[in-house]
Amino acid sequence: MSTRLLRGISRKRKTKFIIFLFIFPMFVTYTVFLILPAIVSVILSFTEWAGINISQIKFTGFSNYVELFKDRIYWLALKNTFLFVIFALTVQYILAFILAILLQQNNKVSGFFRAVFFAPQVLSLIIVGLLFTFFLSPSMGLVTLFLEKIGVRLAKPLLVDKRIAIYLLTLVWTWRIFGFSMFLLIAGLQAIPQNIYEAAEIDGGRSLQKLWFITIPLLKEVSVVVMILAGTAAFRVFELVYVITGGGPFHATEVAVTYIYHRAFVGSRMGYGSAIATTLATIMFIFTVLFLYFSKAGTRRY
Amino acid sequence: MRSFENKKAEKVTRIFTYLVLSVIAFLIIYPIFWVTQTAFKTNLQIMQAPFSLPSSFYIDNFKEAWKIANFPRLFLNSIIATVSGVFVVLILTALAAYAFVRFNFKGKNILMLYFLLGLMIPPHMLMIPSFKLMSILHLRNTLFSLVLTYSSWISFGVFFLRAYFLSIPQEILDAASIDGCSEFRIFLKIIMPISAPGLTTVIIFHFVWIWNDFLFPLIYIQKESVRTVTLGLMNFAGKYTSYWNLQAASLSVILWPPLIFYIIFRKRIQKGLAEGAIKF
Repeated sequence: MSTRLLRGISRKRKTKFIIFLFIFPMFVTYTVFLILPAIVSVILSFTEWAGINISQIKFTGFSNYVELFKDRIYWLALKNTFLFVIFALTVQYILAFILAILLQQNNKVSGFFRAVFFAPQVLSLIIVGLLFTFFLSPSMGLVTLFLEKIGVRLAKPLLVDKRIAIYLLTLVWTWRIFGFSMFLLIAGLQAIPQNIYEAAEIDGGRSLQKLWFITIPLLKEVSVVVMILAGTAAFRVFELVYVITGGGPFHATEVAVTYIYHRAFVGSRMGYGSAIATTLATIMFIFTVLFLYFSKAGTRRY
Repeated sequence: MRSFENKKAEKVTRIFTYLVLSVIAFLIIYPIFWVTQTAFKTNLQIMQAPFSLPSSFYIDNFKEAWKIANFPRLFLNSIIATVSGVFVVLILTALAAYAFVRFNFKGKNILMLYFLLGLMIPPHMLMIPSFKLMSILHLRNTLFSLVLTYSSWISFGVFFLRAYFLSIPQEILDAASIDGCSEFRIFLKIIMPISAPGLTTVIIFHFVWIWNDFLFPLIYIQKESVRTVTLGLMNFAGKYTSYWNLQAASLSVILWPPLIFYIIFRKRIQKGLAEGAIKF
């Protein structure tokens, strides 16, 4: 009896040890290289620091945030980030949705088009950025040359025009990303049981009605996934802007993350950069939660 | 009569559909095609006739770009960082996911929530502290610093694999356990082989992710011999801005390996990326 009990205890201990052994390594790397830096980032946002010597860190309270609030370029970068997110999300979702409807059947032709549309996913944003620099570069970009050939003269060179530069970047972004959203939407479409459509046909439903009353509501869950993935990715946009415009001209295409990079690493203000990073993370968090909340509230109605 | 009209309308719709699809496909393919053919032209030819095909097969651009950029080194560095990163992530997440599926323990839900938190933390927040952390550890300008950072990108893997392992019938594992198999043996001999498709998805996801990462190489690495593909490419482009011939050549060299990889394994890659995002 007592040996049995003893064995029971040692077994329990052994299990605990195994659990520890299986989870602990991941816990360590995750905590040290992700959670810890994130916390430090928040702490640094309350300091002034050039980033060289740790002993030179000066706590300055909320001064970085106060400065941020008055920083015109910060607000511009935020505005650009929002424009980028909204425009990128809308364009690529509509495009992905239409293409998903057109290509949902599994046959050779749609297989070919799907494969082509998905291809840019494997290219890094740096490659995509450099690729489109050839096309959009202000002085000798191919788009400008092409437009001249067909007789269209631009008032201002591409990317120099402050009003449209950020939207051009959004289009490049869409080029890279819409295939992924399209794929998720196709997977979602194929998961809709065919007999629902058949029932609707018997009831005399037209294709547009079917689209509106069946496809769109049933695709809601996948759409939320697509929006969250594409939205958070767009909030973090960095490489594309860094490569194509570097945030210029005169901060016209500056987005939040390029601004962090410029302030922290180019301008050696780690504390200020951390404050920008912290506010951006907070904004992203709030938007994700709000979006999840409202999309859930919407689903319940059906 | 009516069905005839319907058929006609259907035909028109179909032609229109294919037209739209072809235009979009052209917009995807053309930039890649353009840069590849431009790599075979001299700079003068590019300036004079940017849209025309190369008149001869001029490969000096590749030779020169190859000499300047040290592509083998770049590719080797990226391969080392990516393969090690993916391998570490795979081991760590598979082990932890297994423990989450197989055992019940106190604080399990809180721990899982903790690991989920990583998805809400944008990488740009980590730039500054990670940079400093690697300086303190004297790991800047090493590929190891990248692998360490990548080893913390586990949120996706652990939750995806957990869902995957949950779909394995528990009886198999219990039977093995009664037969005296140790947990580690069950993990290695039963779970891993059964879960091959799920593990492949995690590998694909992280491979694309890590291979294309630019942020962390940019911050950690200054030394030329440690540069990864993305960093090296960016550096090359910054130095030879007006040499479109050299830029086109270097871009083609770096762009085609992942594309060829994709063309060969496209079904698996498409499935992996979509599956990963949806199941998750």
